[in-house]
Amino acid sequence: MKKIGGYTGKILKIDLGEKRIFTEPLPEEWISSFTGGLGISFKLAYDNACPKEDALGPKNVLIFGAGPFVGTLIPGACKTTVVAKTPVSGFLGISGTGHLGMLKFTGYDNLMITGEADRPVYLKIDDDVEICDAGDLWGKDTWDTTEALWQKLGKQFVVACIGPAGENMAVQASIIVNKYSAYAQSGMGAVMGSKNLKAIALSGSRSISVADPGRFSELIDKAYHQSIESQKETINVFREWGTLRAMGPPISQFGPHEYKNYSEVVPPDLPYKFPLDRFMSEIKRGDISCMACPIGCKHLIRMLKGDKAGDSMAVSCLVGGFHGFAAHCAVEGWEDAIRCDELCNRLGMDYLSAGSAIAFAIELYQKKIIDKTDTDGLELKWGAAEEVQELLRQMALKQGFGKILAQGLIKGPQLIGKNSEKYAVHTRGHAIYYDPRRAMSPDLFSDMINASGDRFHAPGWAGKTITKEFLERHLGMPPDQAEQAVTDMKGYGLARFAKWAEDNATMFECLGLCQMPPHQKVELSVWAGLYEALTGIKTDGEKLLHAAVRVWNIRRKFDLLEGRTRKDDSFIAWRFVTERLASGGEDHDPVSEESFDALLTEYYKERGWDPTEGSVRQESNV
Amino acid sequence: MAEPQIEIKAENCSGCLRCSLACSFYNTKERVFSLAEAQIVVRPDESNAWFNVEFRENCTSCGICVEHCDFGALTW
Ligand code: SF4
Ligand code: SF4
Ligand code: SF4
Repeated sequence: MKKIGGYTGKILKIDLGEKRIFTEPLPEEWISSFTGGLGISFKLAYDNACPKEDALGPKNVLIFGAGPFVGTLIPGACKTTVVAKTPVSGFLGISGTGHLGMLKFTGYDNLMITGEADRPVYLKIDDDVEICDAGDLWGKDTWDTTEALWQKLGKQFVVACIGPAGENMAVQASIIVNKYSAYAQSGMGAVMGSKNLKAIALSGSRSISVADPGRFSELIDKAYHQSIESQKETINVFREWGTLRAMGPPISQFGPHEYKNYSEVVPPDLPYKFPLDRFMSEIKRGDISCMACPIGCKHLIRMLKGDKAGDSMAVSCLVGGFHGFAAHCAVEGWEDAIRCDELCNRLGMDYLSAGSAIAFAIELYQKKIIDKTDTDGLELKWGAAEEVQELLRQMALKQGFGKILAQGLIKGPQLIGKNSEKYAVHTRGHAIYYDPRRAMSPDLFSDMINASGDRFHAPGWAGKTITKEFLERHLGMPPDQAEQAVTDMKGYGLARFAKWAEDNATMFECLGLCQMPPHQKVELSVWAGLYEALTGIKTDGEKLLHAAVRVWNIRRKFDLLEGRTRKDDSFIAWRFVTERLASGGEDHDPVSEESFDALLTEYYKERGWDPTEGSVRQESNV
Repeated sequence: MAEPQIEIKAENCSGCLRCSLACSFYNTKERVFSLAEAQIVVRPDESNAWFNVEFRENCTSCGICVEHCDFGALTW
């Protein structure tokens, strides 16, 4: 392929079983069809699909991707993704982080890993690519693994590794980058572990070219103005609190932190157990940012408890730990919540997935569905931090009752029996983090039908007033459709909007952009202009969105090969369709399966899929 | 090498690499993004908050990195 700005033009392929390393050119027609990054990864996943094979077997394909914007100065151009068939559901799983942009500087847009090594290995990717022995790293937690590799290779290397949870293939296993940033959900750490792949270390000296540097820098200034300069106060709030913003209104009013496995609403005094002034004065030490992002919504914090008390740790998404442990398991106070986060990070597990599995277990114990004979003597109570931490260890090591929880929220309840699945709150195995009984929003609807681990299909729309102008300027919706959508934001408009918001989010993922609200303030025409100036390929917002539609189609086709049907999309956890949610004076009805189903039909129609089964029509271009 | 007059406050560094990306893009003849060609290097270092920041020997003290640091880690 002739050199196009932004892209490296190469895919690195590694077969661990055959010990084969080779590169292939990134086909130009893939760029026009799927843009880059995640879109190319989906194409590779679909072309190499092995339907019905075990997600934790050697045939599963693990693919990292970084879009054309990654490695440039565009504000927020950091998001990289990893995809594979997920052990959580058996469908396509996705996870993202803003800290693996180094992949581009090693000279690759995508990295595809197949097969299974016959012993523990790590990949060293710099000017050369090597499969190296990781015998001495196996068994180490993510922090010690990273330190050991830094010592051996130098700190110019970015290290993405798994901990014991990944080695033992717990479905909650994440991949941790440079000791803090996570490819959190969808069990990608378990897929790495199944391949005996302990770590990937990257350091690159290659460069990324720009087709029209003059226009590119003008448009970077424009994007910086729209996302950062024009809303300095908002940016300061994002930087100070990061995702902890969601602990307060308005986001908290949409039920993101339902309590005790969604059996209760968060008690009004819970936030007092996590005083935010103490967070600022005693816990937060600094700001951490993803590559190329001037916001820095991540934190450097002080650990308060355990053998590392007093030391610093960097955290990506602190509210994820709040959801997982404070809300789901009722752990109280910064000390214990942060200790749970630390453990999860070191063991290489996702906060939310691990926390919701443990909350499920506590509820079973409290309801006397299981007892001490099931839990090897552990007494499970709400808020019992020591026991929560013990279960985290057991899940990562697949010991005791943790061995069952490490199978996730679909298989775990099957192993337990006794109708325990009623208390497993999930969407196709993925932990959920909004309560649909409170209010259905486009992002929650999207999350319920399409959860696959990335959590950013259609982010951040709950509670926002959506105007016709916004739909046109930012999501590229044609005026007549936008008009129709805003008039019925509960029914037709909600399903329609979900599809457009998903396409927009996918366009961001394919380009390599973070989707935090400040970055969404940049107009579609500016993103399209940046793409043109960077790559030299003519485009506009409509074309980029059209590519995102194709990406959704190919993703759906992968899942259809795995046997996905309407039944999978319309699954709603038992609790949400059966129990009322009592919240002080305000009661919420269970979700109506009938109206959810009606939304699903609208959604399929909007996507151009078969309105009955959600299958992708033959004529749909992938 | 011009001795950089720029003051580094590594304890404020967020690790965003905007300094390195800007240095390479605005200072290379080919106008490329390159961590290898950037004259400012940011690496993990827990003994020093979370990152260490250093200039390379061909830094001209042009100040472009300072303009791109939103975290107060680089000042004149
Ligand atoms: S807003 Fe936060 S998550 Fe997004 S790129 Fe910036 S630092 Fe990363
Ligand atoms: S002062 Fe100029 S040359 Fe030196 S590191 Fe900063 S941008 Fe590069
Ligand atoms: S010195 Fe400033 S611009 Fe450079 S990485 Fe640190 S915070 Fe970012």
